[in-house]
Amino acid sequence: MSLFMLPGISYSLSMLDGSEKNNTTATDASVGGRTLEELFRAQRPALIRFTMAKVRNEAEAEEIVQEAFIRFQGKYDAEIIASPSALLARIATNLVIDRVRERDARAAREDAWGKLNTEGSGDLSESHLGVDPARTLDAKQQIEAALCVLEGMPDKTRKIFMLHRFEGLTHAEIAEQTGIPKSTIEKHMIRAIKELAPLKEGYR
Amino acid sequence: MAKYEKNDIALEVLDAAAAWHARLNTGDASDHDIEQHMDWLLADPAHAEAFEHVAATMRDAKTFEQAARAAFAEDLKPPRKIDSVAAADEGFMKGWSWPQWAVAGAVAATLIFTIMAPGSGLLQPSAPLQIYAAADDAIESVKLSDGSTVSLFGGSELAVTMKNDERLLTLTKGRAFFGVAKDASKPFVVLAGNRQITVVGTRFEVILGVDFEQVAVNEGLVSVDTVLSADIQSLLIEPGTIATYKTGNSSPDIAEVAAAAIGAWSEGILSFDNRPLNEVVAAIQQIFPEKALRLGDEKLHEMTFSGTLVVSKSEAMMRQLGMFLNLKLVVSSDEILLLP
Repeated sequence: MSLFMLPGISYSLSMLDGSEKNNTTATDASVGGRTLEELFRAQRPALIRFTMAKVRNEAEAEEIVQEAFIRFQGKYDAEIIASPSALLARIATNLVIDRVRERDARAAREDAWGKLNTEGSGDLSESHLGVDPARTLDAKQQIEAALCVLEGMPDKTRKIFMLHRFEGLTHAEIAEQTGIPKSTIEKHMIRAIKELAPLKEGYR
Repeated sequence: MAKYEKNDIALEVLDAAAAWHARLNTGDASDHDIEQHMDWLLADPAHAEAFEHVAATMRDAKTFEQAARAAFAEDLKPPRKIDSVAAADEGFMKGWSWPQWAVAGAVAATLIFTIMAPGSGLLQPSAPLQIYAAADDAIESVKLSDGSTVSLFGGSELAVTMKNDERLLTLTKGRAFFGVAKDASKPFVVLAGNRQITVVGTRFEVILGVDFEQVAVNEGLVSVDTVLSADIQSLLIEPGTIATYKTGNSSPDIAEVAAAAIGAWSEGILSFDNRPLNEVVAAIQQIFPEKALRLGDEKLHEMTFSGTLVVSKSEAMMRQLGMFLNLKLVVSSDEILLLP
């Protein structure tokens, strides 16, 4: 069944981007720029599978997934959340934990995948909202650090990263321009991401 | 399972998050990929945390985009050809570097300049040296052969060499405001005293003072290096920033102003629309940092000014301003004062 048959979903989605038309403009840039609607549709089976494994009740699982989508819309702010998918996963996880706790408090305590942020309902952005002012003041040094990391990358890795991220070329376009196979381009991107990620605040 | 604490991302989780991000951004990720990605996100809260971190890292890469473009210009070719241009890549590149005769054309068009081309070498294959100089009482603008523009302040001098792999300019006297045409294959390098300023495409001002050198950026990002210094760390200057290197001082004084104010003199006039008088005086002061300009009475702080001032000398501009507002001008050896 389509998620967008559910009452309220389409309406709230269109509110996300402040447009009156339909729910197709908000995209998840962290997942190749798909619309949220397309993403939800593709993510739904995984979410149902996950909730079913925990609550072992189909109707309850459906209910939790629906609630997760609705809560997602209340929490999602493109300015703060880089990955809507990760936020949705966190909300679904916490909803399942709450549900299981209600039923059996002891089982929840012993569960290995226990909830991490017990207060609040697990907004992913919390850890990123607490930005250390000392670090934000260092914007120039952050830029210099990023330049150092780029400098240290193999020439090919840096070039691929810049063509993809700054010039907006797809992997296929980069492959065409450089003659490097697409699978290799993906490996270079993984390397670039891994080297740049530790620079970002919130990592240690 | 990896031990997970808030903000502490295990290396193997970061690896997986990076791999997912790359996979989903190839441009041809399938619904199946997305479904599996959600499986992975749900498998451990640490995964969602790591993926958000990675996604934020990539989203915010734009914060160092300009710096990276300037530093690694050779990695990015000139803009891709547009369909309507329909030029072969080679032809496009040729058009990018101007033929030598264009230099002669540009020079002929700017007769106001004193031109000294050593030898008769305008058509020589080796890069000719052009020297541009502005008369003491005039601001001169010139378009260089690469499409860049330079405004020279009165009494300033600039030497220009367009090499095959570099655009090398030396400010030998005074101050100049540059509007640099983008050409990733030829860095635009300005030498001024002990400073070397390197850019790709941007607008910035360089002042070679008697006992200081100053670099101020209007648009884009420039890197400033100290010539013959062991200090390899370049200073990156952003729009609105003024870096002043006093003689004998290795680290600059940094000041922030409205970016639009930098190089505003290159227009030859300063225009104001109902601006507070102290702001107007500050704009003149920014052009002439040597002598202090002051409002000599509290009442003047409440006055505003609308109009256009011709950029000349600080005293002449202050006099112009005083005439408009019916104010007295007092000039001493160390300051210029406006009084009611």
